[in-house]
Amino acid sequence: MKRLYTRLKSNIETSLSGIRGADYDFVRLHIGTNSLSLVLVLLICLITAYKIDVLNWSYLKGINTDLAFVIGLFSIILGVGFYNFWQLGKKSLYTLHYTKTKYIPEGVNILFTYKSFSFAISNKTKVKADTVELPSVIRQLLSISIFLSFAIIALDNGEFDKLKKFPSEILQAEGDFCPNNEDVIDAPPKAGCELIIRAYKLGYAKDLGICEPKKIDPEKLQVCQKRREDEPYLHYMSRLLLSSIDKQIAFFEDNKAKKIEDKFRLQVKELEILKDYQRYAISAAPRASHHIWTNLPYPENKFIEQYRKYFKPSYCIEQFQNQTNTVRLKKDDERRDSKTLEHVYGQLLFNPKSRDSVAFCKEYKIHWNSQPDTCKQFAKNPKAVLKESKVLAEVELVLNRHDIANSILSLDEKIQKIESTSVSSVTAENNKSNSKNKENKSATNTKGKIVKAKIAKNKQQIRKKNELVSFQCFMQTDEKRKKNLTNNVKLDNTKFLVRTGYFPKIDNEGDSQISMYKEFSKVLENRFHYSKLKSRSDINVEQNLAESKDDAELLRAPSYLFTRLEKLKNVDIFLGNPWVLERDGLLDVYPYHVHLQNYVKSFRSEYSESRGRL
Amino acid sequence: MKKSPLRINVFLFLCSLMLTLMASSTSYAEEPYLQQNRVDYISKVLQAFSETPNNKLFNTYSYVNVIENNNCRSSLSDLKVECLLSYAKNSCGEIRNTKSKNNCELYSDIIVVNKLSEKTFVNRTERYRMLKNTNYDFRTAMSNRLQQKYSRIVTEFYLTKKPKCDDKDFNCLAKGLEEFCLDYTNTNSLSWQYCMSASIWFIGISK
Repeated sequence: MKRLYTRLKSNIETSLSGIRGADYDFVRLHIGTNSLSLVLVLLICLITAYKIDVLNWSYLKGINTDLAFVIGLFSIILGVGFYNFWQLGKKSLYTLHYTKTKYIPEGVNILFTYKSFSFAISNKTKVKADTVELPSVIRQLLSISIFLSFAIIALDNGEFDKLKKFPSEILQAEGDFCPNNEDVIDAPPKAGCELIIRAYKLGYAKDLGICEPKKIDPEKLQVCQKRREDEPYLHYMSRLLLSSIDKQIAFFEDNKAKKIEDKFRLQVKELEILKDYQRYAISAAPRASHHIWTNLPYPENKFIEQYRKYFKPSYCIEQFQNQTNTVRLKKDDERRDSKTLEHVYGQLLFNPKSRDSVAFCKEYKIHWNSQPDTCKQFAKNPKAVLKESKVLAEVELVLNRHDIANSILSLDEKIQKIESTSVSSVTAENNKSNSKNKENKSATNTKGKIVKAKIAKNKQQIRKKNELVSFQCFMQTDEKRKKNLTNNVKLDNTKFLVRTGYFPKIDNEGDSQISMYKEFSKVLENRFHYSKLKSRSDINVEQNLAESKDDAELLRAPSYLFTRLEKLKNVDIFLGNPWVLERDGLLDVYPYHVHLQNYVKSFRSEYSESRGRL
Repeated sequence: MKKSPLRINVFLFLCSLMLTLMASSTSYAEEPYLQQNRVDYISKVLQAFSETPNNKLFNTYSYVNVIENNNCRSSLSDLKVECLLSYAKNSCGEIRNTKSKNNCELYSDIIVVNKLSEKTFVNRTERYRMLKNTNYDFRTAMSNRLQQKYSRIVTEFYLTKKPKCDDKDFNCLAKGLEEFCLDYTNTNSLSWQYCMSASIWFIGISK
């Protein structure tokens, strides 16, 4: 190292004096070929890696640990092996010279001369020159780096997975033969059909019914293209090769290249939409946006609110995943109503225990502490209210996403049209209808029909804008029996029905929960009506007052307390039966889950008709 | 005739005493599901289980099984409950000893509820699987399966934080069980009486 340093220093000094003299006398390069070739190969590898964009940090971070380990191991083993095999640690056998002709030592082979400079090569055994060589450690590192960059270029996560699966695929292919005739004929009977088949054979049954084996249409039978058990490898290989060539010929004969070009042009035209479509999908942008304003305070204190907002943005998912059936609150709790509302809101929409949830909680927002006249203000100036609530961007995004989904579907339709028109034109041109062409045509037609049906179904399934976005107000009021209001609001050329529901303050805990369910479900879905027909009580006929009195009396008896509680399973508190709410302690042991789940199920089945996601 | 003030005071004291006693008895009779009343009842049931030999308990269990499968077979739950209740009452009514009769009523309550909860603990699919895979008596397999399910609840109860109780302190155990079942049934979809009966039965027969 020290020698190299002093040599470099002297070189730099001569170079500097040369610059001052400006006759380029300082250019006296005598480099060993080993060092030079290592540097050049590494440079080429790095440039290639840079060009194919594998040197960026995000790509390198995405390399999985297995691959990273293999790359490291591969580069160290091959790098060291290569270094030793080519004896790159020793002094180079040849030296390259690039300097003025007068400075070239004697006995050197001059390759070419340009102006006063010459490029020459010499053998170390014949010519003694002051050759510059990189230290052996650096050369070894360069050798490893070459293989490292080579591995990064050659392997990515996908390729590595393929490599990993390759041995098992080969093993699988070895055992993947066409079935024998006997295997096809002796197909096992359907599960649970053994007894019926036996009875049929003995003559106790006239037909096999659903157990009858399916009759195979011989026209629909396809020739097995897999390897036969007695087929030699070479024959199988040639068969695969020929079928591949056939496919390529068919590709060009059917004018598929033109079709692909047309489709590509169409997609390029709609590039912006396609880009947004992908961007929204990747960024998990909201697929719906529903907003509820209430004048109740946040159920927890300010610190918890801020903590959840910034550090636990997905808190709602776990919160509603493990919800209890009822919420037990202290009588002196100031935020009782807020907590009850939050509980009811979770049960009605998100709790997965009752039925598949009909909504995604991150697409719903309750705006706590809102002004009682928020919905009135919203009707006057919707954008201003949304902006104030900091949700305008989200609402606009969902509306935009709806437009994009529609555009994508019409694009699919156009692409489908291209496919079908070109198929018909090609088939009209080629009237040589051999059997293979017929088969292909029918297959393409069925595929086209399926795609068309799929597009039509997707079009039907896209919800309307006012089903994806909704606005409601749910306000507590001191006035008893204040009527609910409905406003028509126009936003981005779409009409929205904005409902304002008013509910009174109720002190009784059980009563307040039940009435919260009733009031809040009406605000979310105005058509929802829970009746005796929907209840899970055993007897659905009208229960008269005397009967409910009987139930109440039965539950006052001092013996068989647990058995008597079974009676409550037929007492649905969502349908009235106030005596259950009035009796002390009875609500604690009430089988809430039975009727609550039923109530939630009926609500969700109606709610999902008018609200949804993209 | 003038009544002496002492007599009046004694009369008033006795009246107030009577009224207090009546009030306390009405509160239990009218509101048996108040928390304290529930705890008292559970404590009595635990006491009854400790005083009754296991063979008697299993006899009643078999009796309720037979009744449920024959005389009280109904798809209407209300009818079934009333039928089982009347048979259980009649069965216990035949016992002459008052204490044994009271105990019988208490453990019969648990057995009837356990019978009613069987379908909740072992659902239709599980029962079908048991029927298919059981080589021996289905009833035995069923009661074994139920014991497993009950044991899970009891284990969870003993794993929850609760005040430590003596083995014979039924009141303390009753309080813990009552609170545990309230929480347990609020989180899981299970009736409170099912949780209680399952736990009491498991604890009661493991003496």
